Order: sequence, then C-alpha cells, then structure tokens
Amino acid sequence: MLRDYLKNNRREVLAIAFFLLAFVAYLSTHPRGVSTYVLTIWANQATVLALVAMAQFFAVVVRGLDLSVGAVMALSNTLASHVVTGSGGEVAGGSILVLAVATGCGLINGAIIVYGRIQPIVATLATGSVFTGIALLLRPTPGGDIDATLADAMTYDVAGVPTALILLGGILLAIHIPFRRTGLGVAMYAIGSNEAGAVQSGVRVDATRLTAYAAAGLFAGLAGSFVGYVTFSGDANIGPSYTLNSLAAVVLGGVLLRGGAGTLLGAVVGAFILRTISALMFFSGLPPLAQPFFEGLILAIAIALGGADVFRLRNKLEVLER
Amino acid sequence: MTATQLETDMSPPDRRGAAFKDMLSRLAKSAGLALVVGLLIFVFVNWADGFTGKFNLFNLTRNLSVAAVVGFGMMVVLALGHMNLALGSTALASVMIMGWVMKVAALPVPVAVGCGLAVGTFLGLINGWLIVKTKLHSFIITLATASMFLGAVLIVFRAGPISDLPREFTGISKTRYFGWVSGMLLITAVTGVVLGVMYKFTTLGRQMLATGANADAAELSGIPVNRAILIAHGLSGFLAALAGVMFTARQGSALLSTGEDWLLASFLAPLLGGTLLAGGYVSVLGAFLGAMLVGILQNGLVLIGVPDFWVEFVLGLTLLATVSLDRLREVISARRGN
Repeated sequence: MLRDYLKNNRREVLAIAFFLLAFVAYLSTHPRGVSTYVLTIWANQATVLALVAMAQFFAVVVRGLDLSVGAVMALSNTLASHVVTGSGGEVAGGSILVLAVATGCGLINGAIIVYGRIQPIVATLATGSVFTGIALLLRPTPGGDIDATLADAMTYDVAGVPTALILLGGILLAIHIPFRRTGLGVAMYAIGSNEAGAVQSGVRVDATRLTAYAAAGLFAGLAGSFVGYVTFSGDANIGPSYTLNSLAAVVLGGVLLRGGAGTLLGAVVGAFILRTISALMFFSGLPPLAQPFFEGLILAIAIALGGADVFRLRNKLEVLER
Repeated sequence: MTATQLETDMSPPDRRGAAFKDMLSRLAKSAGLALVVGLLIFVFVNWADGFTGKFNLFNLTRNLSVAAVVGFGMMVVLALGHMNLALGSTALASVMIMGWVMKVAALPVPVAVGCGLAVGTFLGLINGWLIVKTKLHSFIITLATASMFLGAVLIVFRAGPISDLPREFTGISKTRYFGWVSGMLLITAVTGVVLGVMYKFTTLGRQMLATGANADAAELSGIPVNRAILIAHGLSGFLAALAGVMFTARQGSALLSTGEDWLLASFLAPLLGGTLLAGGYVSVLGAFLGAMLVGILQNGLVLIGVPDFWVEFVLGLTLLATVSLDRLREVISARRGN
C-alpha cells in the first residue's frame, strides 16, 4: 500500500525529501535560529511563488503554458494598490474585484487559446505584454497603499504558525485532495495526457481548458494580492522573474511540461525548494548575484532526474515525442 | 494509358507552376507585412513630429538592425520548431567576455569581437548538445541554461559593467550613410542574405527545415537530424552574440542589462514575418520586416507622445493580431480546399 503510494508519487516524494533537506539546512544556518519571525519571513516569500506555481500548474496540466502569470500578478498587484483600501466593505469588495479581474485575464488567455487555436506560448506572451501595459498604466511608478489590517492578518502568524502557510494549507486541502476525484480534475489530466482520447471519452475539452486557464488567472491574482500584503504597495515590474520561476517551480515539483501529470502539491513544493535555496544562499556567504546560476543548476538537475525517469517507462514513444 | 496519364499529371510544367504559385504566395505574405510597414511609415511621417529628422532616422535604423538580428537568432531555431529562451543571456555572456578582452586584456578590437562571437556560438552549441542528448524540449533546456548563463556572468563580472570601450569599436555604430542610415544596417543585411541563401540553396538549410517540418520523417529519410539541431542552436547563439556586439557598440559599454528584455522582441520579429512556431518554414525577409514594424511602431509612438505602457500594450496586441490573421488565413484556405 505505502510502497504503491510512494511509487506512484515518486516525483512528489523526491521533491519533498529534497525540500526538507534544504529547509533543515536553511534553519540550521540561519544566524537568528529557528523562530516564528524567521519562519514567517520565509513563508511569506515562499507563498507568493507557491501561488504563481499553482497558477502555472493549471496551464501546464492541460498541456499548455502560461507566460502571462507574472503580468497578471503585476496587474492584480497594481489594481490592489488602488482598490484594497478604505472601510472594511471597500477592502472586501476591492479584494474580490482584484481576483475577478485576474480570473478574467485567465479567461481571455483561455478563450484565445481554445477558440482562436493559437499556441499557448505565443498567446500568453502577447497577452502578457498587454496586461503589463495595463499594470503600468495603473501604476507607472511603484506606490499606492494596501489596507494594513488585512495585510498584517495575512502576513503575520496565528499561534506561531505563519498565516501564509495556513492559507496555502487550506488551498491544498480544498483543491489538491479532491482534485483527482472530481470530474473537472480528471478531465484536466485527461486532456493533458491524451487529448484525442479525452474527446472520445466525452470530456468537454473546450470548457475544461477554459476553466484551467481561468484558474491560472485566479491564482496569479492571489499571488499578486499577496505581494501587496507583503509590500503594502503596487509595482508593475514584479512580473518577469515570477513567470520563469513559476515554470522552474512546477518542473522541480515533478509536474511534466508535456501535461497530464503532476499535482498541485508538487507545484507548491517546487516553489518552496526554489525559495529555500535562495534564502540559503543569502546567508551562506555566496554572492547573491550567483542565485540565478544555482537556480538554473537545480532546474537542470531536476530535468535530468525527470529525464532519467523517462527511460524507466515501458512506452517510451509517447514521452520522447517532442 | 494510365501510366501516360500519370506521367502527364506529373509533368514538369505543372510542378513549375506549383512552385511559381508557392513563390507568389510567399511573396504575397511578405507583401502584406510590407504594406502595413509602409502604411505605418506614411502615418508617422505625416503625424509624428521629428520622425523624419536625420538623427531620429539614424537612431531608428540603428535599433532596427539590432532587433532584426535578435529576431534572426530566434528564427533559426523556430525553423526546427525549437525555441531559444537563452538568447538574451547568451548575448550578455558574449558581450561581457568581449568587453573584458577588449578593455582588461587590452587585445585588439577584432580579436575581442571574435571572442564574443565564439562564446555565443559555444553557448548555443551547449544548448543544442543538451537538447540532442536529453531529447527534452528546447523550451525547458534553454529556460535552465538561460538562468545558468545569467548567473555565471553575474558571478564572474561582479564588478559591474565594462565601460569606455575603445572608440575603434563603438565607431561601428556611428557610421552613417546618406546622413541617416546606420552602418549597422549593412551587417544586418549581410546576415539576412547569408541566412536566406542558406535556407534556399544549401543542403544544411534544407535539412534544418525538413527537421522542423517533421523530425521523424527527416530522420527516416536519412537526414542527420541531430547535426541539424546542433548547428541551428550554435547559429542561434552566434546571432545572439552578434546582436549583443551591435547593441554594445551602440551603448559604448558592455552592460549587465544586455538582453534582459529581448524575449518578446525575439519572438515578435520572426512570427510577424510568417515564420511558423511549429517549424519547417522561415521567412528571412519577413523577420526583417517584422523587426521593422516593431522598431517603427516603438519609435513613432514615443514621438507622438504615447506613454511607454501603451507601447508595450500595442506590441502585445500586434502579435496577437498577427497570429490571429495567420490562423484566419489557414482556416479560409482550408475551406477552399487548398
């Protein structure tokens, strides 16, 4: 039973083991030791990337790609810096508006890809630059304000546990566990692994793919909002690094870029690994400039391991197809 | 009888007719884009103050020549159905090493430029080699190598940019013809012609296109697919380095921000020009016209006084409109039964 579970989820298990190793190394080298403060700072950074990685997961699982997640993040972040202030009602309404706009961005991506039949890479590269344009329009220079009560509630801790982690845990419980058991989740995996087969089995391919991209938009919106909670401001230039890191995170978390495999949990763990490593490097005396190099190296190693995995599969043909 | 009929059906004039038609449709494709570029020039000449100023045109052609080479760099891998996300980092690594050789090692300018181009080619070959060996998608390989190249450069060149490059080098970007055409346009033109000839007339070029059209079929037909992939990625690295060298000549220093924002532009030029993302078809002239469209649009919009964010917005919409039109044309021609 356990053996089967480990075998079926080996990519996630490997990723989690690697993350724990890195995390322990991080906590033990941190000059201020293990404390809620240290943990909270780490959790806030990791959560932003984890949310973008989840966004990317939805696009990747349907054999797609979303190069606009960073731009949607920037757009929702700058929008939040305008509307998430004022009275309690205004803050709630503003937060919902931000997520609605982000989901709308995702829907636009999905519609272009599904009905326009344009490759996801080109479509989202184009919409990404449109969204960035709007974000720059909203905030030509970083600034604005985010309601401090909400921001503090999101970025501090509850009884020693960072709120950000509780939030992530809640999302995972609500989505990750039932995901494979719902028709929608199964449909997404089916489209990702064999689209023709999914059509034959009566999966509503267009609607499912549209939902996946809308979910990608929603999670990018959550990530953008969270950046606002941490920084109390809006910045239109936060996007580009997150787009590439989200892809690295899903790959590290065992989500295959050819679609149809991997889990939301894997995407989150991948994001945790990336952030922990950058935090580790920050304290280990290596020049911070070296960070991209090591991030790339780790990504390369993860790819290599994923590649080694391919050769153990019986049916190599489909996997090797480019 | 049937045999004769078959022979008549396959007769050369028909084939020549088909080839002629094919050529016409290719030209028509570029003609559409050329028309749009012409229209844009007409609009900006009449409504954008200072567009026809000699210095503005010089600057425009200078930017354009760099952008076109960046586009060529992506085009040569798109021909395979591949991508090169490491284009910017490759250019960065090349120009930093070139700058070091020129300024710190104080070797002659041609040697330094040669070193830069060699570094670019080498990094491109690394990409190609990894893709061939791992059989993984170029997207993910170059995503990883992009951050590795960038990181390595940032570690090695911690001290920052290398400025005050010799005048002998920066002079490349200062030559003008007729008072307004940048001399660098000549480099771009030569590069474009060489690439055009390669795809049209050389075995290597045809092999690359065949690999892009259908790698399996190409392999089965005896085409050295892996060699084509390796060389195409090496070429992409070379072109990235060339674009970097031109960019650096314009800036006067080897900057750490080189190639930072090349991604959208590198896709825009070839895709606007009709190069297929799926591989198997390229248009060198199209990529040049695509770069022209982007360059003129950016330049003109700024002159009209349109704020920066609209420029980004318009570029995104342009890319979207182009691919949508392409898609529409496919659908229409499919309905006609072509």
